[in-house]
Amino acid sequence: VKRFRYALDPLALAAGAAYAANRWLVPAAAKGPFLRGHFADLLLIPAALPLMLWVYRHLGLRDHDRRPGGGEVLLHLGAWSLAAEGIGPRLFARATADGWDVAAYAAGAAGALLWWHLSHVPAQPAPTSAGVTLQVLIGCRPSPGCRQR
Amino acid sequence: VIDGGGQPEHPRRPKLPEPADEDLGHDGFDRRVDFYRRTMPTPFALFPRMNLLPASTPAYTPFLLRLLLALGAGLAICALL
Repeated sequence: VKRFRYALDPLALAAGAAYAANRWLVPAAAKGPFLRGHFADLLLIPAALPLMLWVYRHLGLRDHDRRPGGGEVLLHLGAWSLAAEGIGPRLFARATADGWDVAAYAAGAAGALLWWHLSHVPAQPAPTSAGVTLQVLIGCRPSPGCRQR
Repeated sequence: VIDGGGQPEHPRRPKLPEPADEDLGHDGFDRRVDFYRRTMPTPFALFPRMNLLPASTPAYTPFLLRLLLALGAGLAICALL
């Protein structure tokens, strides 16, 4: 199993680059409501979760290098929603609570989870019908251990 | 795996070289840090993978620590970005 590369994971790198580009490269006048509002929220889990998992790994709070699991994603989705929409607006004047932010975090988390798990499924080569026919004809079941004589 | 003092050995913890006697002394702490700084191959060696939790901590402690760290990071992100 290929180990997770934390901040060097392609999705984390792409999310970080997209956040930086949206924040510093795209002029404010050129941004529509989505880019001004929820685009960065979508990138929260893909960009920040790998860094957190890297910290846990080095603190001994994570004992493997597998890709982020559903429990890890859910824990951070809940904690960061609570921090950003529940606690943050009471502590910081410029922070505002918005339920759509949580929806954007959740959408980003779902997309990231799908990417991390579906993009690394090893492809199983499908046997061709001709190959199966040949294996049946020579009396060999179509299995990985089957060799043609 | 239990190593002597009852501390579970972290499976991925790198084996650190032991400082020689001349690296220790009355001001041993600073000299030991200097020893590790000189002998470690990368900057990450000053931040090796740690196992902060003694064997006697309850099973839910890592989860609580992760939750607290996640909340702290969330507040930091909220304040900074």
